[in-house]
Amino acid sequence: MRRLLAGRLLQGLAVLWVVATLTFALLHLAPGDPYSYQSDRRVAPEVAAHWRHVYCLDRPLPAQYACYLASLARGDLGFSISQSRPVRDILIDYVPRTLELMSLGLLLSFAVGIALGVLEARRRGTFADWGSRGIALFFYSMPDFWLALMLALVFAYWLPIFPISGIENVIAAPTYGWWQHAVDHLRHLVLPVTALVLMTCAGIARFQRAAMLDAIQLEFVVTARAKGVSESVIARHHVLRNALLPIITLAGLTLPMLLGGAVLVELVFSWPGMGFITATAVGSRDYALVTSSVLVTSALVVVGTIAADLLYALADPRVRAA
Amino acid sequence: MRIASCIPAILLALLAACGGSDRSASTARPTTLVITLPADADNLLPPLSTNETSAQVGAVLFEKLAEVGDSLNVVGDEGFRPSLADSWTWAPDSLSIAFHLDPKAHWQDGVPVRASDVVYSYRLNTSKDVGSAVGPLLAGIDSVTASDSVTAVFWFHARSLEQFLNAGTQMRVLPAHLLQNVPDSSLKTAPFDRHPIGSGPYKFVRWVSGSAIEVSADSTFHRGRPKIDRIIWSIAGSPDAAMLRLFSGEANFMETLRKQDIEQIGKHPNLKAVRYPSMTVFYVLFSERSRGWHGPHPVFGDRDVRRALTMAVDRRRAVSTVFDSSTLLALGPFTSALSTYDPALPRLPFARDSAAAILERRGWVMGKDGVRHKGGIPLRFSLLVPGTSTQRQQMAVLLQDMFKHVGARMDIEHVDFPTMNDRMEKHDYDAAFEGMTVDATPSGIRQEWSTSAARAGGPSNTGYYSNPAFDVVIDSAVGASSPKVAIAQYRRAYATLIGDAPAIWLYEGTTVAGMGTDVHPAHMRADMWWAHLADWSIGDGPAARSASVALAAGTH
Repeated sequence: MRRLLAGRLLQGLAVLWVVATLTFALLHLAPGDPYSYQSDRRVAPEVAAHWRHVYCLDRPLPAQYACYLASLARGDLGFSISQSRPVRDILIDYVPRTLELMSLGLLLSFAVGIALGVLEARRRGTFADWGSRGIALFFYSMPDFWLALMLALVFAYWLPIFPISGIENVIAAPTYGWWQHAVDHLRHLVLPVTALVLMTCAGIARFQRAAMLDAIQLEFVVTARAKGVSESVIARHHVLRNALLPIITLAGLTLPMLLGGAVLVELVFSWPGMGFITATAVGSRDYALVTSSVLVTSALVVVGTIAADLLYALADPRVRAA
Repeated sequence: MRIASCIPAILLALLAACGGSDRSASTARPTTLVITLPADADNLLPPLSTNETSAQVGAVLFEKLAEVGDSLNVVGDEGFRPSLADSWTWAPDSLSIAFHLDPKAHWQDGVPVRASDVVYSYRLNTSKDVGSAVGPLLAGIDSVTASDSVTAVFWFHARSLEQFLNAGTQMRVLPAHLLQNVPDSSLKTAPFDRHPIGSGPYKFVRWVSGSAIEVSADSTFHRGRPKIDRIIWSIAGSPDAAMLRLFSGEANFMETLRKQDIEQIGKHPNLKAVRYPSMTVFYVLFSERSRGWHGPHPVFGDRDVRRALTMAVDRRRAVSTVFDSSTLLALGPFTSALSTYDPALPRLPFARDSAAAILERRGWVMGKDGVRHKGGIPLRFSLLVPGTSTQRQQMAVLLQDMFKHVGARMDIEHVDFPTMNDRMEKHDYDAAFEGMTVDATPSGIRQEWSTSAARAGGPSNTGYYSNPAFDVVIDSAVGASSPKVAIAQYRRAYATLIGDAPAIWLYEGTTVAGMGTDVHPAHMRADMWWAHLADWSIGDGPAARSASVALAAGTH
């Protein structure tokens, strides 16, 4: 188990280094730099030159890369030019919001996806099976941004049930107590989380349905049925337990997909998380912020994948033994 | 299992109910202007801020010594309004101006504003370690001293008609007692940047990164309490998200509407669209040097060819097709809002036949492929167009067609803003569809179009327009001794520039704001619509829906 963990950690570090280097190279290969995009107020050339010098932007690319790696090694993620503050401080503000959105999205996607998969497998071939798969596929096949916009349009504008965007009611928030804050925040979470769940739960349901149908045909299930065990006990104790194993792997794989979806969802619902800030930073060529955002996102994916591997090993003794 | 399946529905119903109950509340309430916009502020310390959101917030927190008047006259000191300074006195030799501060002015922590604050603010804005964008604009000032506790004296290197503008309105005054112990190089990370204390009409309340910035009216403000109680800048991730906020009532002001949004606003009972002047000019800039600057550009190096191509464009038709007939055609790199503008300035007419004749005369002969050639070189060039601007893309297609009629072929290159700016700075382009926010200072035209600007490199005059006659006239305008002479000289310089056709001047930016029908904006200035925010009011009528939430909660 320790060897497995050590191996995965080493792999993860290698992945992070490759990601950091590729992001750095791609960003710097694109024309322009943070001072080529000062859309609102023109910065005088001498001022731009001063800041380019301060942030090593006037040095050759290899020197900039060395500068970047040295900073990373010191744990210094750099200074965001577009936000005018250390990247570390920005991440402290924005990462928890994305984690909140994503973890809720992941949790509910799997809860809904597994429930639908079980339902579809148990009612295989019935109207419920076809209907559930059809509806899930309908949402799954919709473009992410369109689905998010439609949710906002229907549930925040036509039927003004939920707030249209943001993380809080900006007018009333200063007067709220903690309870009102929590409720207000939850209300703002509903639409973005629903969008994420609708985007991903169909895939999980299909996966779960297939796994259930495979497990139903296994010999121990036939034996249990022959022994007269009730169908619901067979489904819960024999089929579902075995059919959940591949879902652990799927959870690791869904993480990057959810993060990708979160970028669009954050933009549409103005949820100030990593996707929101990274999209802005790319447009303004904010090297430090983009590279750090990508790095943190990759780290989250790596950690998620390692966690999935470890969970799988814990759940399946054969993997541990191997 | 059945109960479990009902939980999400129950939760949703509860959450919806929690929100809905607040909305019905309505009592006498504090007024709140919620401005929705796409970008968060970067830094609330004015010398360090570079984006417009920061500028808007900074403008209500910190004051200048004087404000440019609504006529936007910046030549001499006519039309300027007192702000932190209630009066000023010129020295007999015009080499210094003494600003007398309003003795009632105070910082929001109760400390009075003093001349030493002005001295400190000047030092900060010109410090190399701070790298303020305002610094270069203060270059004409030799020093600033405090002659007494409420009188700051600006000393100049030489006389100019923009002395007052530079001294009185370029920098905002900062509290020395709160900042002077912070080293200049550490200012970027100072806590003050995110929790500022100013002397302006509004007090800072809070800033939630990526979400909102809030200020509240300062009832002790030395020029009187502002009319709106609270202003909130609410950050939306995209123009669509911002529009939805305006439509849903979560915001009651949006500074720029897109064409399609204006039509929608007209159908909304609680919203109105308000047009206000703009300082942006859009034009197709010709690069007069070849790519990499190896000699003149094969097409645009010839003044007559530039003029012919300008005459080949039916600007009125192009502009009304993309916008509407009320959009103003640009005459040059200046807007009708400037005091030096003259609608009678000469302009190159739309005359396709004359354009073709000029091209013929300059040796560009029509080929079988419908494109003119000269010495084996086709009359073909590419136009950089920012991919994010729908209007510019649409207009580029119309221009492409118009050029085709005179035998010129234009290829359109869609690029993002940083790429466009980078290529222009590196002179890697033929023509570019530029949008430039014009400086309210008429002398800014020298920085953009003079020969010295072209030689200096950088982002100014990347097309390398150079005409000694223009340089001479613009120098005499900047150095003129009276506003009247200066304005006449500026107009002569404009005429020279228009005649040389370094660009095809297309249109002035049309800015339309969306707001609640109960929002009553004071004059929206072309260079800063937010200049008079303290004079705006919110009257009877449908307010921003969420405003009532705050009221019910009993704020203020």
